[in-house]
Amino acid sequence: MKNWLKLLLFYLLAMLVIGFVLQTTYKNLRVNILTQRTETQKIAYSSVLQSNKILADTFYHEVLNQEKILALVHKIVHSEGDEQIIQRGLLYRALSATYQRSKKNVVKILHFHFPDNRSLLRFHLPQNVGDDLTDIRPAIALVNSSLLPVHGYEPGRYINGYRHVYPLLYHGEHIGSVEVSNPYRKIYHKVQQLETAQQTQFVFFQKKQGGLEKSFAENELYYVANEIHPDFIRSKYISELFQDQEQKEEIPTEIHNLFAQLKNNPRVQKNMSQGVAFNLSVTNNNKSFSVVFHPVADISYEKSGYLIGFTSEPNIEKLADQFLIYFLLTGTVLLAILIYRASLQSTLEEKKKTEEALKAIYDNKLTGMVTLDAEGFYKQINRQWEVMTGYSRDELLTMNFRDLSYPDEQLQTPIIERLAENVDQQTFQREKRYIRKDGSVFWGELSGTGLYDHHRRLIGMVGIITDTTDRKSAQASLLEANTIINRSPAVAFLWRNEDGWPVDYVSGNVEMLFGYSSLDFRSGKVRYLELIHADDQERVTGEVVSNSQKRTQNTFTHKPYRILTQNGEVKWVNDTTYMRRNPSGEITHYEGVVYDITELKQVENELFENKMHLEDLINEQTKDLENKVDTLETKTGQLEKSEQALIHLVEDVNESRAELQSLNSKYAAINTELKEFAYIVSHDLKAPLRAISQLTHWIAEDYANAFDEDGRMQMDLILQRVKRMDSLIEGILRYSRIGQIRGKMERIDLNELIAELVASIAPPETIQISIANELPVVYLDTLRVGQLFQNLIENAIKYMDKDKGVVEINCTKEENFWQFTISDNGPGISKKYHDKIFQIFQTLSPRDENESTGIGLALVKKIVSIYGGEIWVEAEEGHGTTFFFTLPDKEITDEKH
Amino acid sequence: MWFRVILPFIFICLVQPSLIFAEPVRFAPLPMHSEDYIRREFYPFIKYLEEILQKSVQFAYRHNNKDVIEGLKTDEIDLAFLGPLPFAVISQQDPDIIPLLQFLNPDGSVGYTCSVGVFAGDHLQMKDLSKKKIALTRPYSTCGFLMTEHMLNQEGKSLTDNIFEYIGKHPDCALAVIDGRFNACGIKTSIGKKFRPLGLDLIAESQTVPSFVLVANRHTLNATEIDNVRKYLLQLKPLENQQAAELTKDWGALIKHGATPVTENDFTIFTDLLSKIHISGISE
Repeated sequence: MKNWLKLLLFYLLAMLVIGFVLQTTYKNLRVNILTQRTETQKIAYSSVLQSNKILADTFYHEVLNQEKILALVHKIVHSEGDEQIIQRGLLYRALSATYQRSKKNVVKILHFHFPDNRSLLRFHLPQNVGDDLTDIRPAIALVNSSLLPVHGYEPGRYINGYRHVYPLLYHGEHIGSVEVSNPYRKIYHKVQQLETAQQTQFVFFQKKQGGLEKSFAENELYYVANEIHPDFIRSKYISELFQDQEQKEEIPTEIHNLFAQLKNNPRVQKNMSQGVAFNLSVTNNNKSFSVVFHPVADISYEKSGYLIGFTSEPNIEKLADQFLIYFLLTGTVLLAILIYRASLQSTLEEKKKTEEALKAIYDNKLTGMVTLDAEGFYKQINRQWEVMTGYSRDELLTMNFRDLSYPDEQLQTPIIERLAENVDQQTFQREKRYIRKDGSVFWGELSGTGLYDHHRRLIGMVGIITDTTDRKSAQASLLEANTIINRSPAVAFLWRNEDGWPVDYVSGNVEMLFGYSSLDFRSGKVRYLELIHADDQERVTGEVVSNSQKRTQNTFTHKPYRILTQNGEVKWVNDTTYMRRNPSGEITHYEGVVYDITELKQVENELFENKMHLEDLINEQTKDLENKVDTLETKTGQLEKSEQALIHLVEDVNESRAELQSLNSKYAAINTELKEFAYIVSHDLKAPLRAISQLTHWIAEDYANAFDEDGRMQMDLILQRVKRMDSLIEGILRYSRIGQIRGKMERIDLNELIAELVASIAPPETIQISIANELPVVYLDTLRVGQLFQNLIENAIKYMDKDKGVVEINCTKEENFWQFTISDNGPGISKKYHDKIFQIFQTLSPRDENESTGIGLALVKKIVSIYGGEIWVEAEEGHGTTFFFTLPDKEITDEKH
Repeated sequence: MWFRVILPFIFICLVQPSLIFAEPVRFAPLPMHSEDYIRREFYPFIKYLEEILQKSVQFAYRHNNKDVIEGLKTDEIDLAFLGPLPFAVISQQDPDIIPLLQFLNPDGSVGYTCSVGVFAGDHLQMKDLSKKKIALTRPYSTCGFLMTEHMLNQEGKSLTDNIFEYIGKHPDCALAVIDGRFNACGIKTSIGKKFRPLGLDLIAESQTVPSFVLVANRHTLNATEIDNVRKYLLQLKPLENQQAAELTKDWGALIKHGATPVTENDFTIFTDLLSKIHISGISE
């Protein structure tokens, strides 16, 4: 593990060093590429400037600095008014054709100036003349004062240009100056053309202080500010003046995307502020670019801008990729070497360990080890064999292995010969005696392993000789101990702690006790547990289990138990067991000494029987006495039992009462919950129903014209159903309320009440309602009683099918109550419906035929039952109906629910 | 006054979605310069039209006046910025192409004049213009064939007695005379005057003609749209109102100074002239 860690650390360190070296090399190469790019651009830029200067010089000398032109300028300078105007026109006329030809490729700006720096004639803007250029065009002022040509970049009122300004002298007289220039963009576009193969895109950023003050206000639309640095702007167009050849600054998006990166680069910001030349490489969308910043100075050597060249640099990308590949390859190779080395080292270490282990085995101090040749002569001996035999190494190396064998055993076939004969066996063991140098004899167990060549011929042997003298002695002692045990009555057992206690060892005398041979036990033919008497097996097993759980105790003695011998004889044995445990404390074996106590047990039984006989005699005498006492006690007991039965009866009654009370409470609670449920549900249902009803009304009204006859019918049907639903809910409410709301118990004159009810119902004239006899005064809740009568009377009216309907109310006094009847001559009710009509929501005709909720009679029944009365109906189909009900004749205080 | 500027914006904010879903209005400006230049000059104006119309306005550039006229006739153009002559021509052919307003000059005046220019050093007069080379702008240019011919006619001369050539823009005509390639040119007076320092003399000047006009196609624009454009543009008084001036500061030079109402009657001069003069390049 340590080695691996070391190798890992080494690997990381090495990779760091390699990475550093590769990184440094990569940086150097990248710098080289950037430097080359910078130099190439500088050379291209210089050549363009130089060639432009040559062209300008040529144009000046060959075209402008000519007698005719100078004479015209001289005239303009020395004339005024119309004359000057005409001369200017003539100057334009003289050069116009040449200018038109040359402006496409050679000269775009041709501008004459007065000696006092005023504009004399601009060929690119001829109508604009006379403006003073002293402040905005220092080059002109410089030429007019020094009379020497000036070349360099200078921003202008309309155009930024690379200026070539020459003095004009007419016969030695200074008559002004002339500028033969190109817009600066044309210069770097030419550089760009030279760089076409390299796909360099130049962008010019003009310093605000240099040109913007003069041009920005009126040409603001044509500039973009602060794309890379706040002090610089970039023009989008050359100028309106060159619209015919207008070139919009089209910067490729991939270049434009770099601006933000450069804007956020502190080095760029710092260097641009300082106006120094620099370069850098940037990457966007996995594409590398070199960006070379060329500071551009004006004719006063002031830094006026930056010409920035952006070039796609696939070589930088490739370089980065290559270095990455180098790094990964180096890393992989190094890793492979280190893994190989680590694996080699591991193998060597393993080998060393194996050798050391072998050496340790060879040099052990317990067994002798020898290597013999095919004839049995010693080839190698370990120190222990020297100790065991008493011979020195040198002595042994001259001897044959058989030389040390005990004389009797020299007659046996040597192992080495057996190994030669039995190639497939390869290893033989033999215990035999050897004679030491001092003549003493020791027992040794020889394990010989043959050494064979690839033809399977024996070429030698490796022998391991273990001194077994002590073991031999122990075996002899053990044999003697065994003999003693076998002669004793005690049988020694070694049981495994497994099901049925299989026997691992049993002393030879077992046959004397059990009749089975020791082999019968050890072979598993006989299982010890099965020999234990069936009546004692459970007890013996229990004793073993309980003692086994006592971890602090290793020995226990069973209570004597019986065994069955081979011939079916039952014998009593005593068994003392020792529990043998493994290092974790679990019992692996039981060692037991079992000896026959049958005779002892017989004596013990006889003694017990005598004792029992004596006790029987005593018991008989005692029993007589006890019988007498029992008779007396029985009588007393009977008396006590009667008293006890009475107590139990009272307790049972109390329990039944308590159960009844509990059930009553539960029933009341359930009833209350049900009522509350009905009340809440009904109220909650009514709210949306009201909304449905209202909306349906609105729809029916607002869209009355939109519905045809069917539509209107369906709308009516909806309203009807809603109304029915409302009635049903109202019915539920009333039904649940009738049990909940307890009105005031008061005196009710039923004659008066029913007269009021009939008046409020206002039955049709075809139905006559009569009271057969004087109705009683009752002491009940007016509201409920009113509802009771009203529902029954309304029912009779509602279902009346006769032209002349008769409804009669009657009352008779019974023993403890009043019995009322309300009968009519209506359609009657079939007998099979007599019970159904009192159930809630039950109607006998479809609701569409007769709008009914089916609550009225259920309510009636509930009211009657609240007052402990009964209600029933007698009717036949086609022969009218009579409702009977009873009400209490006394004021009641406790309502039934 | 401020509400005249603000009102359209409020209006727009309320009904902005229509900008997205309505068919765009196609606006064609006078093709006096390169497409790119004209696009820059008219871009803010087009944005303002969108606000007025609550519709997207498309820049429907045509390379010459003839194509603009064709576009109006074939209902491919809904609004156009035209010189007075092209409008006079199209209005004769299609009465549903109507003038909405005419744009003001920087000094607030309306209309312009045309001149005949010669190089001062050549000492030419109108009476000398026979068998001379005369530079003209374009057939549909008001100061091109029509007004030059009219001025020559008034002196008993005619372009047909001379060699004339359409060479493009007004400054090109001026410079063509100054550099001696032509003896005279027909030119907008205001432009001709700028070339005075190079010796361009304007030897004749026409009567005032209406300014450049914004015309609408009644086939494709409804009355409300036409009224709105007219109303909101006339409301702007950049020469009087600072806010309006701020709004129009980036508009093209010919449209940034505001507008004034115009009717078909203002173009009767052209109706008369066109009945007498057949413009070479248009009439044949």
